[in-house]
Amino acid sequence: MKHRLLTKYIASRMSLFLLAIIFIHTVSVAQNKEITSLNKRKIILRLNFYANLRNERTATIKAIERIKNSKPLAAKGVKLNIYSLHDDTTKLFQQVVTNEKGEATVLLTKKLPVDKEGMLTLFAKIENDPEYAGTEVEGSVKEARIVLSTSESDSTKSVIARLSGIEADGNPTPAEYIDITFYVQRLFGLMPLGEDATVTTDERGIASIIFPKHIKGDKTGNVIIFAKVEDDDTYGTVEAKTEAKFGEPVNPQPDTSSALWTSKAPLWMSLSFYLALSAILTSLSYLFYQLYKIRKESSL
Amino acid sequence: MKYPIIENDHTEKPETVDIETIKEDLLRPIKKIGPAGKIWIASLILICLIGAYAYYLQLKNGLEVTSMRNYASWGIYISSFVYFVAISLVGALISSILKLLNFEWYRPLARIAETIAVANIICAGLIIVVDMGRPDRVFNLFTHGRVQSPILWDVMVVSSYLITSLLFLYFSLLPSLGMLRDQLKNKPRWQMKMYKFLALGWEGNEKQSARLKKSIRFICILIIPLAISIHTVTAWLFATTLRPGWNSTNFGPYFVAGAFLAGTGAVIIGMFVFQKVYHLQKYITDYHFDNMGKLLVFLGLIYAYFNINEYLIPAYSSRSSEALLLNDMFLGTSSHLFWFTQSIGMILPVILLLFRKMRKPLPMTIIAVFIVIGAWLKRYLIVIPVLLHPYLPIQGVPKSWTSYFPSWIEIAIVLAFISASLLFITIFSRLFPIISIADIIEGKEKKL
Repeated sequence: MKHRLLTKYIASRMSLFLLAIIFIHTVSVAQNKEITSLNKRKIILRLNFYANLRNERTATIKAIERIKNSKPLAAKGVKLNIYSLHDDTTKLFQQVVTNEKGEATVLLTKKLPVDKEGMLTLFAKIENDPEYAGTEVEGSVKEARIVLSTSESDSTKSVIARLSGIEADGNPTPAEYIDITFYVQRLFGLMPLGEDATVTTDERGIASIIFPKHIKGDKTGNVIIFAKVEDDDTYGTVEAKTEAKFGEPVNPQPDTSSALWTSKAPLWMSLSFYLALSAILTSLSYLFYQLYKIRKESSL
Repeated sequence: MKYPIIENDHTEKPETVDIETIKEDLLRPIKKIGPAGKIWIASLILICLIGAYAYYLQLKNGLEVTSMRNYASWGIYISSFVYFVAISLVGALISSILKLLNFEWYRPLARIAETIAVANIICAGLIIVVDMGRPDRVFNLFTHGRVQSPILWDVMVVSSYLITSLLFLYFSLLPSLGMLRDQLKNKPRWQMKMYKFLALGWEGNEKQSARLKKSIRFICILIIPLAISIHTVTAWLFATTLRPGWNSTNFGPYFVAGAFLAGTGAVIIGMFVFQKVYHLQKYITDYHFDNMGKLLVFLGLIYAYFNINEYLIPAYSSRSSEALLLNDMFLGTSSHLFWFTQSIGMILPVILLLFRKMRKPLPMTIIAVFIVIGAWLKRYLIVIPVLLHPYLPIQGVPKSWTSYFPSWIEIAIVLAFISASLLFITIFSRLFPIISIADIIEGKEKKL
């Protein structure tokens, strides 16, 4: 009897528990539905830092519009306020609008404040659009430079990249344990220098790679080599390039210059022309001579 | 001696005629010009004078008086140049190729073809000068020509072909000149002096005849490569230019095939006019028209073949620049001219001339008129629409630059050139026999 009562008790509690779970699940689904219907459209911001070959530093904010069950789209025409952050105070730096690719780029000037570790912190915020108000992204970057050099000893050709971070006082210090990838320029883009093209800098900030054999260069063997730090958490993207006669000399195209565009006709053309002209003049002279002879052969 | 007068397919018994009748028939147009002939010559001179005045205005005010602008920088002068060169090729076809292939029926047509050739090649050489903004610099082409320029090649072949065609005409004319000198009476003194001077003391002795025969055979061989060169090089003026519609390896043979067709059309018109006006029915017969009709079908088919190559392949591959041009040709503003030239100027004549009835003088002459009109319009289409479809789209220019229609000055000058070529042929046929008497007699003797 006692056992039956216990079973009944457990069954009733289990039913209540199941009912509770069903209730909670239903409420949760309803709430989730409400949330997704509210957030059917939202904008995601991404912030990247880039230093080009001329050491011009930029920050690019990409706005992506996400609509439920649709592919993400570039958000064009989004107004963004860019702030710099220093000692817990923010200062409006620039106002930008995203282009057709959903991107807006700002040039980072030397005047922007950095913290004691040399880090510059920016955040971009949507403030003028109530639908996306509060959407923001934050990022920090430290200025860096790559000095790229080449060396050749015996038959080994090396490419050496020295990466330095710029401190708050403006002095460079070696940037250690950062991945640098080496590339060589090809006709339609950059090709990594072999399978192990990414090398981590040592404590001196140096990463080097042996230039592979059989890479084609121009007709004098010249190649353009790139070293890149790519989307690093501290330094963003930094790149440098150099030229070296490390490639195999290749004449990429046969000489296709047209004889018509040269200032002087090629020999074969001049010969053909003057031969044809001579043949015509000789033939005509022969015919005029025949006329002369016909006149001479007359008794009139 | 009596000669058969009607060339036929040997199913009919030929009429016969004696040598004196042949001379009388063929010298008749020289002896007297009727009032219709005088009106015709006066009309042509009047058109030439209007053209000369138009050219004076062009010289005075510059090429601005034409409709040629930055894009359509070549207009109907260049179209007409290509047309005149095309017509001139027929001299080589009729007089040389048919002669060397031992066709006998060419004989009464040879001089008509040679005269048309010379008249048109003279016009071709002159109209190029009209297209120049500074005609006073024409001799710079000879003194400062660049060997690698197709323009210099063209100057070389046009002048060579002109001299050779004139010599061809002159050599074959020598026996007639001797006859004119000896037999014509009651003609002005200057005319008789001219015959005497040009006849070079022709007696028709054995040595002279042998030399003449040898020389004519030599010219027959020389003129074929020259004739093909002249129109091939004219085609290269376009084909060596990096433009959609011109930069085609097909252009040389395409031009030559078109030229033979156009020239043959012109000779058929000439045959009809001379047959009717000079009463030469005994010499230019239905048999000649029938043969010329068959030749026209053959040439029309060859030209159609090159047209298919010229338009089908670019239309199939449709590179964007070519596609724009072809779209204009097939469906756009040039389409009415294009389809006229392709259908009325080429395909329909070939179909119609397959029927014997259509190869009779009158229907065939009407067909030939359409072929010749189509030939001129085709040269217009080769030149102008291409210039109005450059690789870089035409933008930010005055509206007048985006299209081309010739000004009255251009039309007057081109009409003057056409009249000048007709005038040359008319005056020539009034001074010299338009059918070579010696050639006809030689042909008859061969038959006998």
